Amino acid sequence: MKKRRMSYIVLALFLCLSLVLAACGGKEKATNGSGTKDIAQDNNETGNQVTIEVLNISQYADTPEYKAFVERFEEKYPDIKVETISVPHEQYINKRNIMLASGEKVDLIWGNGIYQYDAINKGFLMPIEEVAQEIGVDMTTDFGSSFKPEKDGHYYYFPIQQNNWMLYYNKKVFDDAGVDYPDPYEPLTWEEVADIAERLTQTVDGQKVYGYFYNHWGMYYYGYGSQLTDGKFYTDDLLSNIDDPEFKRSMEWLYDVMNNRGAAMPISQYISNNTDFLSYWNGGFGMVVGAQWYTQLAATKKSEFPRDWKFGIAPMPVPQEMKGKHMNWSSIDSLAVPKNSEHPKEALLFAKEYVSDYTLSTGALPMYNKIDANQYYEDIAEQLKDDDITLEQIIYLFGGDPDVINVAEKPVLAAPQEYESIFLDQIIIYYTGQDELDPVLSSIKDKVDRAILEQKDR
Amino acid sequence: MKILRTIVFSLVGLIFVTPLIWMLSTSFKYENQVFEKPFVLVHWDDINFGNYRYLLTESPVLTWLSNSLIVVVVSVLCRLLFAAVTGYAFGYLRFRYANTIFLIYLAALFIPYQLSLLPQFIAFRYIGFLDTLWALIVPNIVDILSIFLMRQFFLTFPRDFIHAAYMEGSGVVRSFVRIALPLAQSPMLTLGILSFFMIWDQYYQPLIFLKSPEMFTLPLGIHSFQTQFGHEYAKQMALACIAIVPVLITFLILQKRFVESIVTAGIKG
Repeated sequence: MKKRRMSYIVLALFLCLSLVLAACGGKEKATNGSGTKDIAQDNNETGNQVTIEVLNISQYADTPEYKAFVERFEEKYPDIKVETISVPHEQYINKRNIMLASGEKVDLIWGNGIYQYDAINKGFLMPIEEVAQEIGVDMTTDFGSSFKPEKDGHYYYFPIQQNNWMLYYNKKVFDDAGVDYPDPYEPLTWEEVADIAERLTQTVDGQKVYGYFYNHWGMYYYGYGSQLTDGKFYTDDLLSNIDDPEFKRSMEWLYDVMNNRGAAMPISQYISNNTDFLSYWNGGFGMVVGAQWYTQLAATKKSEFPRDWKFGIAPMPVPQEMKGKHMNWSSIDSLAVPKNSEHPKEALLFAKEYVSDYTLSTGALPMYNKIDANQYYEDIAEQLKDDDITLEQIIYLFGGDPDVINVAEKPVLAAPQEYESIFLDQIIIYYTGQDELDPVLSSIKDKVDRAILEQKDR
Repeated sequence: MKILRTIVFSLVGLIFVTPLIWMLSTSFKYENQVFEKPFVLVHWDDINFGNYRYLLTESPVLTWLSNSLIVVVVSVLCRLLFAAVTGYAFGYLRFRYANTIFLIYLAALFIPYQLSLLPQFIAFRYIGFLDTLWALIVPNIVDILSIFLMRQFFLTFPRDFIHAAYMEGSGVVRSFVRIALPLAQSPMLTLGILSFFMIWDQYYQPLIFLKSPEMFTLPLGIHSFQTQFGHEYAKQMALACIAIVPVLITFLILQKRFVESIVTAGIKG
């Protein structure tokens, strides 16, 4: 009797253990009936079908639109199976670096300008112009004349979209303050923005409404200087140019708006409140300079971000010297093929479909100029008609103006990650009044230069 | 006096409970209401159930939950067993060079985890652990701090008990299983609960070693609601509310034993 009970216990334990072991295995093991196949082999080819691994941030990879796109892609190209590795943005670079440095096979990686240049400098990426030719993409012409080779005459990434920056404004805040809306085509100067922001700043129902909203991102501090220097973030010998007088002027402008005029949230409050770009959308701010993300919130995520106010759009503000010109901070998000990719051609085919199919569904306009942009403009205009935004405005501000002047949104050529993080860490010292701007910029330059030289040595 | 004490305790309790209340409140809000001023606890006229609806219908949150449970349960059980056996060897048996070997163990504590990630990643690829829960379980089994605590416990363990067992004819294994292990319940329970919370919260390991969303654990799932430009706090809080349930249940069930074990055994081991 005792022996039998023991047998039952052993059997039950064995069953539990088997269940746990089965659950702990990867999905490859779980779906593989034979159980004899090596896991590394199992990942890839089954007959003629190839599997491409795509590393993307969860913001894109986890959306129903992306999943639907992958299904459409696999239907259209039954010989290609797509496995997406979705990574939270916060740790994307760490994961990417570990995977690529360890020799893990990845076929396509997402990145913004900083990330991709960082990958090029680390030697992770392969030139793609020849493979692109094989799938009918000419890198020299299909992304517009302003798209140039990234390094040594080679193209290393496949552009998904270029940011289109503009001035967003909250019509209710303007109405409450009795201020006229900005002109839809004539850009304000930064000085005019500061004046208007001051007039918009008031207390409504006990709540402070700030006339100007900014994000704690580099371009909100140095972007005005980028317009003045044509995006010259580096000296001729490729060291930091952040102490250029025009960048200094740019940072002093925001200091004036924030600390002298009180028309933007103090930076200490901004950080302690966990403020981020979504905060603008809660209605307590007058104006913000932003790219197409706010439009995307309004167009494709209406139910998640309900509003009781209307927004308007106008061209991005410009320095007095550039008055009347339509300017944009240019930054390109892209897909790139790592050197250890086993299927670069299939990966680029996926990239081509990605821009032609998926990017449009997110409310952004791809740079790939063989797609029908008119349909995109009409769709966005239809989605924004409740905000009284016209099709002409959409075309003008969302990439349809051939005369727009693009300047670099941020430094990307050398040690871009370090440049940005050192800058953001240090600039707080100036905006919180702990030190003057000159010594802060000098300290930033020293640190960034050291990072650039260290990378060069490596 | 009693009333004053109650008020003070209630206020202190409120401080600890406030983040949980904020978390619960935020989980029923829209993203643009998260940092609204003035703070509104509940928008009774427009409660947003969309975050929970999204999590339960469009995201694999239940899979993440079950993955987390599997990882934590298997890891804790294996860790306890390993720590008890190793601690017994180092603390009670004290074999030759035990102290030297133990020092080497301790030295491993000073190696930053990030340094071992790349070699671990490569090793796991070769043995096929990548993108499996084993990549999370196996490194959790050997925990130097747990071994240290169990060793400290067995250092002060009454030797007479084991000697008596030897006299009765028990060997090392039998005396460990029948005498030492039952008497080590208190430190093991403390260790088990602490390990449970520690492993439940692990984020970096799943981030690096897992690829497929269906293998993700909850902390990784929570972070996936972070965009390039900011956080989707409302969804994150809704997921955190779901994630906290097993932890709360575990703590509530074991609360009495946990407090007792700390009082009797202490975290000193």
